[in-house]
Amino acid sequence: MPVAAPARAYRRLIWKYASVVVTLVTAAIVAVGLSELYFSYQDSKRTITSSERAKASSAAGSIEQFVQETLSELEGVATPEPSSARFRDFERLFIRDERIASLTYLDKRGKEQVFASPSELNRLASGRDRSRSQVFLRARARHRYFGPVDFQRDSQPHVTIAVAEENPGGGVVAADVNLQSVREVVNRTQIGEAGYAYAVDARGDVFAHPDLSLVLGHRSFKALPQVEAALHGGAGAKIGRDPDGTKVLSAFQTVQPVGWRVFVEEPLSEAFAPLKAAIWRTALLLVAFLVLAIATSVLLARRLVRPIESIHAAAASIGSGALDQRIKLVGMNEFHAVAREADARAVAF
Amino acid sequence: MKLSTRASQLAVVGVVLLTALLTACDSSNGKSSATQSVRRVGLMHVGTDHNPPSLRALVARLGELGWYDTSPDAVMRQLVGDETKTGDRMKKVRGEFKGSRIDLIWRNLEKQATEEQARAFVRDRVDLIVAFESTSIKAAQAATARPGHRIPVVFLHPSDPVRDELVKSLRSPGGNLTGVFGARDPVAKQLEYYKRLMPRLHRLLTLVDPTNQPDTDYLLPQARRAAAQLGIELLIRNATEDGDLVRVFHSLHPGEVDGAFLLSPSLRLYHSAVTIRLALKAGLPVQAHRKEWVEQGALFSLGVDVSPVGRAGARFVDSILRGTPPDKLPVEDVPKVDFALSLKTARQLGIKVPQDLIVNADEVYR
Repeated sequence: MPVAAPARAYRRLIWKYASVVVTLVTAAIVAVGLSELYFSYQDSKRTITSSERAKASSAAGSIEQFVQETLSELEGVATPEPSSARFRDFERLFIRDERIASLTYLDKRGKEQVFASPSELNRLASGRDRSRSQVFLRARARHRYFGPVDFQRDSQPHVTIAVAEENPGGGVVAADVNLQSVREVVNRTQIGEAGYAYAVDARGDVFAHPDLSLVLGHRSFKALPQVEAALHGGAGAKIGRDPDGTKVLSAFQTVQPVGWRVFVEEPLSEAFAPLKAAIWRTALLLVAFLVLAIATSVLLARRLVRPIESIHAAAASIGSGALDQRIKLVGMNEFHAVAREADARAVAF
Repeated sequence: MKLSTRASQLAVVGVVLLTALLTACDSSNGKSSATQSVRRVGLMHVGTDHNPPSLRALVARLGELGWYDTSPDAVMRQLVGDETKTGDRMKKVRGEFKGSRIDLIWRNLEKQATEEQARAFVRDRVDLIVAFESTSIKAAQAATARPGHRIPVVFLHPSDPVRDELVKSLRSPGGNLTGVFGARDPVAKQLEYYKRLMPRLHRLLTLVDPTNQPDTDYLLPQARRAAAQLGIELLIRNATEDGDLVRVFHSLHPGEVDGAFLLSPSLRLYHSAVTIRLALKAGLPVQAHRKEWVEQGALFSLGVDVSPVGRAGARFVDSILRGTPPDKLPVEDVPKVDFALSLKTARQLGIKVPQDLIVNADEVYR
């Protein structure tokens, strides 16, 4: 059949055109989109972690200052003096610093001589033997002692901080310190809409978090990837997870000399929200331009195939003896030149 | 020409399609504007001679958390009026605040009406009960104990939530009750302050309510131990109602005791006003558990600062109304204790207060 060949040519040409145009458009959009996304991702990550690191560093600095202030206050009352004078000094310290829940003085043999507290019965010269306690042994050996974070009475976090008494006393002054002020530091530290800060002790147990239920529930964060990394290193940034399993971009810093870690983090979904929007926009542009590319290539192919069909039909008619057949294409492109040449040949025949 | 027309049409369609898709994508990030139903919170307290100071802090904090735009003072006026008294009783003991997101229903009760009120809250299907102090907490616990009645209860300043069997542990409440408590009855420290204020204190009338269990049985040995260390002899007398207190004070011989001490939480919570009046009439000092009573004639108070308790309680109300189950909210303690002192009462009773205690006091009434 004389018409079968042009139809096949038409379909083939359409698909050739379409595939070439679609490939070119897709490649261009995907290449530009991917490179743009990659560099945007790297830039965003750098900017966010840099901001998080700065905030983690600032929070760690505030906590270090709190520890140093407490140490200075303890050193101020760790001078050799009679028990009654020491007791008065302790009471003045409670007024100056509400974070201190109790103060104990152990003499050089480790016997308790003064215990003072704003809420418990004071004890003078009780003689309780604490010579084998970590607080006494370590404070005497290293002049300072920082205990593990402890949840007194199963609720609020506390820590024991102790200093050695100046010579010739040889005793130890130990304070039970409420860590509420660390919670205030982390609550003040904010990043983005959903970002937050928190602090864990050297074992990875959270003791300051904006969600107080996590603290009061004594949650261990040790298994979280960013906490695990922080416990093995001083400072850094990492993609980790929150206790609910949501991915977060986290920066961390060590609090010296107590070895606690402060984290500032933001959910990945929020940190990279601008990138997500860009991905969607690129995808939509890709789909829209693909539709346009297919439609355009079909139109072009049809415009290209129509004169070929005319030439083919006329050639078939002339071949079958109809020498008066003419192609009748008008215009000035290559197809029209072929048509005029074919018409001229038919006239010659 | 034909091609360019079609191409333009296609371009227009493409642009429209793209714009529609991008707009749809943007709007999908917007927040749902679905409206939330109004939540109803029942607030109950036993002791019509006062309003719990933590109520104002709770109301203020709920406002900060976005539950109403009205000022805390306006909400308080709806609930408790101008907080004036008729005799020993608050003028307004019932009140309601109706907001667009929350309704607060305030009931200040006599002891005998507590259980019925707790049941009424359950019948009315309030979303949450806030119970102040032990008696109303126990009533709310009983009323919500049965399956089908398990409305969440937020308690504020019970004596000890574990000892009172309100929760399994502070860390895991394990039921429909959770909340905030303050320092656990620092009776030993109160006795110490008594002795420091009155170094010649020898015999102390110690008022105990034998029906207030397990608190009395728990606190009495503590008080005895501390008194022995401080060299104070406790003259223990039982009292449950106002009439008992009148009888005890009338039975005292002149000079028999140097002061009065309210040991059982039930006496401190519901009979402070009467005890202060009787003690002052007998020329005796009495201690209190809150600074508000020092303003009204007690010599001193050593107890929990209840404003932070109210603020902390609002966090529980907020979390539960937003869908967190109460057993997922560990109990919070606010351990800070306040020492308040009345130099006016001291002068009236001829007590010379040592200067270091005046310096130590968080509040001094002159």
